[in-house]
Amino acid sequence: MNESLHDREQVLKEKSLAFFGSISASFSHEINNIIAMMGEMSGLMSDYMCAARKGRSLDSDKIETINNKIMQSARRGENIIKHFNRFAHSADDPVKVIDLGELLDNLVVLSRRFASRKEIELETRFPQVPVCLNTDPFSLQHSVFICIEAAVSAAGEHETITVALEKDDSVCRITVRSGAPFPATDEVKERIPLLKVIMEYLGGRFELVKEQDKIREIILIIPDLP
Amino acid sequence: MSEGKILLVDDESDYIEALSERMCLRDIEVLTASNGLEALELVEREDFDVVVLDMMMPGIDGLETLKRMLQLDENLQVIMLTGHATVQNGVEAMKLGAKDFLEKPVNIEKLLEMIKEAKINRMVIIQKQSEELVRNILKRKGW
Repeated sequence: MNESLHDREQVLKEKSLAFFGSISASFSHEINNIIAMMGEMSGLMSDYMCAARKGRSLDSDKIETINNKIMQSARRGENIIKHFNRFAHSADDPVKVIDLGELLDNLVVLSRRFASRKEIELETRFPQVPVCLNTDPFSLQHSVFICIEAAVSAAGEHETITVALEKDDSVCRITVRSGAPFPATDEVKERIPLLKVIMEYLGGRFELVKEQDKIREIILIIPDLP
Repeated sequence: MSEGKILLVDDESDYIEALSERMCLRDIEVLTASNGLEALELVEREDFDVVVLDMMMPGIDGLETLKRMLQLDENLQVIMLTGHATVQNGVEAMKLGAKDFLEKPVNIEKLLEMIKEAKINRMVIIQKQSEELVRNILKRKGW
């Protein structure tokens, strides 16, 4: 193995772990928020029970409202765990046939937390029919996440970023498009070399679509592996 | 009589609703804000004994909100809430002037204890400032 290939693989390994860590940290933060919410709701219910034991009348509607909110939080938690679990299992096989729409939809859900810090909306535009591709699902998600991160870091607040998908013949095109073009800031530029390494690893390439020196779209072109 | 006036700031509306209701049951007057800007407007308009501020919020985050709040009122007692299991964020907030920090999920008794301490701290600071002001007036007037 030549040295540069070894170096690239090492970079890919380290950055993949960092990507997994960053999604896991965000997931655990979200779960922690839900646990905190359920804890306060249950504490509030205890407060009312305690007051009732001291002779204050118990408002059953109030208790029901609190209980409903606990149930809503449990469902929210369940949903997040489901998405994170799918993401975690995407690292099981190095290469497999995947439903790209399903995979990217999952990634977008997990990425929304990062975007919401800047009050940026993430949207998807996928074909009605499933788009299947034989590729490395984990690295593919990593490449799309880099594009989302780059766009979010440079886009203005309240912007909408769209992740679109299309497939012709044996290649897939994933487009990360910002409502308004964003500047090629240092944060964007520093992500480009890693994106290049991942795209080479996937056997694909990427294009930056510019408008007056600003970036409108990042397009990932990924082949269907034999 | 109210046990104090608190501002709770967090983007998780159900969370602050529940926490504020629990505090109201303990005779604390609570106002809430769901983001940094809303919180800053309230700090500009009203006096609070303590602000309980979440670190991670959309738009301007907790640290930035803290900085701006302390520019509006340098004596403001701010307790930061963090969901991150790292001390680093809390330490950074305290360097910026936060009174204390607490990890979510919070233990309400611990939070109430912190609020009580912060409220006393604010009273002591204000009292000292008033004494200083009176001393300066006395000196100037030569009484």
